[in-house]
Amino acid sequence: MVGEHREDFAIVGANYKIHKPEGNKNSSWRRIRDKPLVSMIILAAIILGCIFAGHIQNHDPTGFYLNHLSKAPNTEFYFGTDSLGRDIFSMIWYGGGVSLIIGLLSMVIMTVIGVVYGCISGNAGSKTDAVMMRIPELINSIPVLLLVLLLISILGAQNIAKISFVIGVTGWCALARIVRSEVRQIRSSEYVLAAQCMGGSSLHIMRRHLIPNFVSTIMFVVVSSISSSMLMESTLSFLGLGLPVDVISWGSMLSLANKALLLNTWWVIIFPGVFLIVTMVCITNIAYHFRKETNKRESNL
Amino acid sequence: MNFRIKYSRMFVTVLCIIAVSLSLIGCSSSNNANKSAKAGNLTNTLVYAGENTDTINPILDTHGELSSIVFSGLMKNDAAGKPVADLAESYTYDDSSLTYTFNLRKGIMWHDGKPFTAEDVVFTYNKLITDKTLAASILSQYLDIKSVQATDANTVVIVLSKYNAAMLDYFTVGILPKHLLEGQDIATTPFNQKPVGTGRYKFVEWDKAGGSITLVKNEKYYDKVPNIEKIVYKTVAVESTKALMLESGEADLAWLNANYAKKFRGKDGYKNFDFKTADYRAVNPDFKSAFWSKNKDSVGVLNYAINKDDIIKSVLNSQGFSAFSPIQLNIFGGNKEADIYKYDLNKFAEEMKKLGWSKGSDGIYERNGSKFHFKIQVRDYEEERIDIANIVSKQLKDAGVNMEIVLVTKFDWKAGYDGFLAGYAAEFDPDATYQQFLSTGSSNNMKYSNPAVDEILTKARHIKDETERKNLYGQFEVAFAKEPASVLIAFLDGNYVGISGLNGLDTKRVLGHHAVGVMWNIENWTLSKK
Repeated sequence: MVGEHREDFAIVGANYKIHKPEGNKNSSWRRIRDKPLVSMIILAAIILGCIFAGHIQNHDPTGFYLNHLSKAPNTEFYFGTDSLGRDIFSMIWYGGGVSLIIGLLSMVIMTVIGVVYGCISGNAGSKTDAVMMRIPELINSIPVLLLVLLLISILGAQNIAKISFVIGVTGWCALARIVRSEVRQIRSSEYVLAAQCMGGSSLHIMRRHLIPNFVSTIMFVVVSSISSSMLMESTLSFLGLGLPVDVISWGSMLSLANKALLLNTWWVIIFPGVFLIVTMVCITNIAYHFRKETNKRESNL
Repeated sequence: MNFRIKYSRMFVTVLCIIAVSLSLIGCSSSNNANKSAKAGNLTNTLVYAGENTDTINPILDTHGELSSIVFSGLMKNDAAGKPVADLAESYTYDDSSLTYTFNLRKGIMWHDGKPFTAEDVVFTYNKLITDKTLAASILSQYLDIKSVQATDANTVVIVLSKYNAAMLDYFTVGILPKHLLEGQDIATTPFNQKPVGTGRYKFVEWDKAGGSITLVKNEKYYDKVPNIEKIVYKTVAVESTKALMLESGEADLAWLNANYAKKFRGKDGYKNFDFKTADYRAVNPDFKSAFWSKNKDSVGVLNYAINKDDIIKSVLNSQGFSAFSPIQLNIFGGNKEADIYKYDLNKFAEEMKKLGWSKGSDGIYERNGSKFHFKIQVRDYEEERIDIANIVSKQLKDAGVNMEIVLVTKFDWKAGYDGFLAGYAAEFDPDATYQQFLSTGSSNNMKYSNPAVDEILTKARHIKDETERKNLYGQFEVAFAKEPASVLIAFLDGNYVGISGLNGLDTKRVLGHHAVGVMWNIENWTLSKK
């Protein structure tokens, strides 16, 4: 319809210009450009590599190639072998899966606890809220590592689920505080009051009104908790408190660092270290992107 | 633009991190000079990075280096491991009455200045033979002593109830001071942490927090007084830490695993001392556990599935050899007929079938509805044992047996593990196997029980004729191999590394478990630090 009418109007004048709205043409490129593209590609590559580890690895990641001890990177063992002839290249893909699963699982546990706790605290009366908020502060006042060690010693033998649980249970405090302060802002909004008046349960309000409003705010914390959980797993494995010896993860690979330093086999440390660092930088970068997006918006409403 | 700056900044950050981590590799040796300068006058002090210890007592502490230099016994082992007189000046043995008579040296003082007398000897041996409450792994050694008496201040008469071929060896046990220990419970007395002996070095102090024990030489020692003024024994145990301490100049001598020792070979400022040891590593089932009490017959067969030579080549860096008998290196042992297991997976499958095992859908053997799955504990600071366990576990898994490894900081015998990665050594008389493998042996904690072994070992300790003894120990080795107490893996060499200023270590001596015994001639050592 519009097109038909356009012909009725001829543009006249000496040097007329057709108005082209800027950027419209490249809008899809622009949308992508704003995203942390490099991080996303690298991270996707690493994740895919870990998922399809079975196809990438050229050796048995749990095998000991006893005729190839402490070999520097070469064409057969791309990233070299450690002092017991384990192939670092295969181990990295295989162990990366374990590390990523721990990161994600811990993130889920942290988010669930943090969001629920924060919502309850935010919705509660000021006295309950004050008490509830002291608990994460108390937990935070104890060094996390100490708390983790305590829980590990209580839980006994480690596996992926247990270690994720321990990391998740000790790491939700910051998230709960953010959620709580967001909730306190939103809870007196008219639409929340209206929902309350109509008899909406607190679970319903949390799901329909609160979470959608602060999800972008907590995105940064949530995403970066993946990388902090992975780091925690490495720390624990490095200290020998992480996964059992036969479970390979980047952390347990790094726990060989001490030995590698003594034996001058740099590749045993550098490769898992670089993979861990790159993954964490990528995740953090993506998390920063979420933060930037939230900060750009004037209001969530 | 923004985009590019952001990524180039990130790239720089990553580069920096890599650069820092790389530079850490290089700098570990550069702070060498600082450390030794700070430590003050240590020129004639030997800093020894040793095993963990909580007791210095010759009766309880069977493989500790310190009890052998703080205490001394009636006899001591010479370079060849043969017993020679020590606190005793001389001794006589009367075969018809089975009586040893020891004439003690005169004028010997305890480190606290009190005189040493025959009563101390009587006290120590009476503890070993009459104290029913004492739990010590060496008790089986003294079963044949009937009585111990002091006829005067310098003469001790020990009467046996039966001839015992290894008795002189067992008279090397350190003598305890009666005046300090009478009426005390040996297991819990505070004396164990501030020992007073008659040996070459005097105990000074035990810094529990810092993990170091200080000793000074005993100027009043009755034999050659040592050259080295002071010994600081650091309780480290962690193999990589010991190696790092040597490298940074914090320690002057340490026992390292073969791979770390290799690093110091030919390195400026260091010296390698390679001892032979009688120390072996084995997967040791706990026969008290539910799993092994049901499957006692399936220990030996595991030998077929383990490629021991590969383990020696890798973990031990060829500093050792494959084991088939616990006394393989002993002059009485090494019967080739006991070497009945060769690495052969087909043979393994065949033998497993004979024993009634069949592979389940997961590739793991099962019998009577239960899997061939057992759990062993390995101490987390013993890297060489962890490596051995890891490889054995993998080899067994490939063959269809699930050996799970659990790392522990301290052995826990009550936590329900089915075994552990063990080490043991019979460096002197082969009768050391008596306490370890006899059903009622004082050191047989895993409750191994084999009637044939019991009979041979009891017979062999009471026989005088050496060829007959050798024959009997050969039979023991065969009987043991058929139904072993443990899956023997390898004997290892004792690779000590010291600073180049340390001299006098004598590698003639065959060392024991944990390569213990290196200080057997410490009085001849000299130290010069620059």
